[in-house]
Amino acid sequence: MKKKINTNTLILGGVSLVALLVMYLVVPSVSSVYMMTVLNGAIIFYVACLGITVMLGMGGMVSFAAISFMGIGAYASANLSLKLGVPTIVSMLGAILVSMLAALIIGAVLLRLSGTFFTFSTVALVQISYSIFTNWKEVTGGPDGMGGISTFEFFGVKAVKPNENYMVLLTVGILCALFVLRLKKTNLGRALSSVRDNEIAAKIMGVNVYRTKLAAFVIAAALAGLAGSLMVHNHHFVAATSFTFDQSTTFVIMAMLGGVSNPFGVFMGTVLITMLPEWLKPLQEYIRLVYGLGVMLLMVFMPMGLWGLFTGWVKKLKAKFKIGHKVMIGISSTKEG
Amino acid sequence: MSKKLMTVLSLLLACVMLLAACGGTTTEETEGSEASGSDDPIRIGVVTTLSGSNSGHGEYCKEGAELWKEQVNANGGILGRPVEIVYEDNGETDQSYVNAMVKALSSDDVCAIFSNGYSSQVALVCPEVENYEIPLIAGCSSHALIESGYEYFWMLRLTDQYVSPAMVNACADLGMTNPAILHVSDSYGQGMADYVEKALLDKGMTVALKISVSEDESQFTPYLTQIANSGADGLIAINHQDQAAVVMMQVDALGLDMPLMGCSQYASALAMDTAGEAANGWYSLADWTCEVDTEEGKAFVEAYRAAYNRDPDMQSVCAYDAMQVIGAAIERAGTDDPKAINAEIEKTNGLKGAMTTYTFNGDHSLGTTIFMVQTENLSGKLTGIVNR
Amino acid sequence: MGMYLQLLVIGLSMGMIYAMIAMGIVLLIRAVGVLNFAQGELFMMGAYVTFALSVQLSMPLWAMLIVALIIFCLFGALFMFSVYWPLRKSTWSATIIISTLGASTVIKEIAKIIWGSVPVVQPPIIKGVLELGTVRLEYQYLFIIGIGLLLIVGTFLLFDKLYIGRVMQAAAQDKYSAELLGISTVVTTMLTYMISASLAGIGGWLVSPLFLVSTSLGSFMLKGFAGMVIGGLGDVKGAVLGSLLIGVIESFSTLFTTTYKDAVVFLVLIIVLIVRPQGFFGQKISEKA
Repeated sequence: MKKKINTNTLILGGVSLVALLVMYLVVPSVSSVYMMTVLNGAIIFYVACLGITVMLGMGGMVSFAAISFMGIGAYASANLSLKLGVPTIVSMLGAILVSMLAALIIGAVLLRLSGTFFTFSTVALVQISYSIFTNWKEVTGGPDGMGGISTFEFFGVKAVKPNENYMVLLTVGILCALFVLRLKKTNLGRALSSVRDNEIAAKIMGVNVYRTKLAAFVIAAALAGLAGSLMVHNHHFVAATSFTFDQSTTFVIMAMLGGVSNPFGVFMGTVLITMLPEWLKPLQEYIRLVYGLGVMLLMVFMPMGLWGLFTGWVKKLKAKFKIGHKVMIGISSTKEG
Repeated sequence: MSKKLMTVLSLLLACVMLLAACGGTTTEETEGSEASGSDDPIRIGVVTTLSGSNSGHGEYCKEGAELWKEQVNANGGILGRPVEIVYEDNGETDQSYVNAMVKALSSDDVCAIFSNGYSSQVALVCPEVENYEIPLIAGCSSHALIESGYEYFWMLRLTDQYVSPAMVNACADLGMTNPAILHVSDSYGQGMADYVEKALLDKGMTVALKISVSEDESQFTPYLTQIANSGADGLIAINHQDQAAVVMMQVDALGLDMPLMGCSQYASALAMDTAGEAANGWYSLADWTCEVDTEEGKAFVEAYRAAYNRDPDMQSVCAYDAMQVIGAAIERAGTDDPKAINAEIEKTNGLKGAMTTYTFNGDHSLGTTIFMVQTENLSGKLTGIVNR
Repeated sequence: MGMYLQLLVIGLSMGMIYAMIAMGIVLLIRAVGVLNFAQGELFMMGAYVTFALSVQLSMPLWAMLIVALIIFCLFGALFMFSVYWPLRKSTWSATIIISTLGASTVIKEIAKIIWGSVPVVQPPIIKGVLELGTVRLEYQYLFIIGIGLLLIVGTFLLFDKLYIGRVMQAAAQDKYSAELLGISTVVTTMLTYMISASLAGIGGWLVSPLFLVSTSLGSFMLKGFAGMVIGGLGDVKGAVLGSLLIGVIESFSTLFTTTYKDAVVFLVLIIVLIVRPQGFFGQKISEKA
């Protein structure tokens, strides 16, 4: 048994090394500039969607608030780098800090609500934040937005072209994905899952439900704020029209499509939704219709998303070839209550 | 933990391979069309909305551009080469607008681009346009964009800053001394309202009330009620087409008895058709009216009606004229090199388009005139022309 | 003075519209426990369907209403069997929410394909303006208030007094026992969806002469949501009062701020939720675990 795992690990190790090489070296060299831009946009959304993995996938809370914190992070970054001229890394950390602080205050209030009421309060939050982003001229530039924000620059090295931005975004994306994977194994992650599966039972077991949820909310906000900061440095421009309720529903759909409980599933969902209009170009005016129908069918046939489908296959294959040990990431471990 | 990580990475590989395959095909395509012989078409890009809730604008835009293309190609093309227009659909969101523009810039092999995106969207892509050094002519009119000093960005119309004093003069002629301003709260509405307010104050007039409404607002009666009770003696309204129609209908229902002045959208075919009789009596400073009195304008309206069996909208004439500006620049440059074209656009002087005459006047706003229109019996009556 | 009266009437009639959306959502929440994010699109569809019948097919008012109601009911049933029924066994409520989000896109796009993206005009029931001193009101506002009241009273009577309403309520409260008693929960659920779609559709018909028939009518839903949450999630009476409150707050808030109007409305919602986490009329029961 022990030996088997070792060979498996070896193969997987090799594959993942190749994967990394491909992502860092091959993709940028074969993709067109346009492709790189689309991919960059997808990675930015992906980081924000990871927050939804924490909230919905791990904590079972439907929240539309990601876009608000993305906006807060974006404007924090824009102000820091435009008005104070701080380096990129400081502006990114600042964005994370500001959105975490905002989430701590807002979350402390909203998380006193349960279930559907909480979901609604996040919808209200998105409307309020959108109003503020459009109208608070001193901080957000009002409807004109803010332009001329510096590009990514680390230790004197500047990213100018889309494929250089891609390197930065990819690295941040992978780090965030690893962070979320790790989070699942921590006490907080376990507490969160127990709250999701049965809140009352969790309470009896001694989990502080309110604090656990608040921690998840703040972490999700940190990821969204980071995404906002990435967006600002990637586009060099920020405007309130990027932070609408529609966009936040798209985030939830991206996460659900891929399979909300797994970072890789979310990645598939994000890329798919971003690429869909591209692949369906000949359909022109029917694109959004197909998209809507797709979402409905998806919920019926694979509610756990593409990742759920994939792990289902893996399970079957393993049963067939009698590969011994239990499935690593299965639907079984993400039963919803 | 590490095994899970590896599964993740190996799957990422598969997904990325797929993407790479897609990306690969796109690059090959463009490389194939690189070699430019003398018979190769001249390619011009148009980025407009072909899907989603504003696809109406995109249809008008596409029709205008197509009309020009057919006329030019019927006359032997430009520099003896046929013209081809590449359309990119900018979808509904800012992100999809950026994507479409980058695609046009990077992989369509075009020598110039026209786009009728909103000011805020165009602002998003201007840095990219500068990177690629391909001239972009836009149909928006926010003055802030001109002030940013982009080299490859051009504005077809007069900017709001130039239009606003003319609008205020017209308001004074209508007898307004203390008008109310109702405007949409996006970049266009807010910018224009600020210029109008400044022009009003410069002229020694006062502003009774300045009301900003969000883009998706449709209930204006509470605002109009306040305007009626504020002692205002006129209304200046700045909204997009759909909203303009609703404002006109609700003003009519409330029976506001004061001179009414709208921005260019109030004279758009779409707003007038929708508002019906409620549109009668509104004045507006419009970039475009089908009653245009220049020869070029009349010829355009005639050709457009013959081709599409409907009246041209401002979006169509913008696309048509932008193509003319680009075409003339290519002709003068003698090549379809984007940099040469950009240099030639700056030498545009007295080019007579359907909408107005285009001249480079020191900044990147090429238009020179705007129409003063009053709506009567559901059509815009030309009452004057205002110069820059 | 006249101005305040005018703002009040406008606020109340907008509240009535929100109430029609909110009631529909509440009925669905009670019957199947699902939030319907496509209610705004059902509302929008009401405007388009009545436009097609009365303008494109030039039907008289009475015939139009009958045909429209039949279409709304069919639409409600179709909606139920496509969005709710396949997912009813799903243990995860998020899937149904996402499915309704997908449905809202589908309905919007279908409307766009049939009727185009340019707004169309729907004539009012009676064209004209009521003048009382300085107050000027389109008759349509009065119709909205009148018909809205009728529908609200009708819904109350249905669920409180009539047998069928009680059966539906029973089925909603305890599916298992209801089935044991021989109540077909498929039928009662379908009826609920039909009533919900009709309420939204009639609301859409009523507002369309004021705001044009366009796909952006769907955005009324968020205010309906707000009204319903303020009232308490599972309560029809609360939803109506909450919606009226939202309408009036919205109308009067324009006196102080125009740019932050929507923010004010939703801020009120959040404040209410903090002070009374279960809404004004909601019972204090914790969610089913």
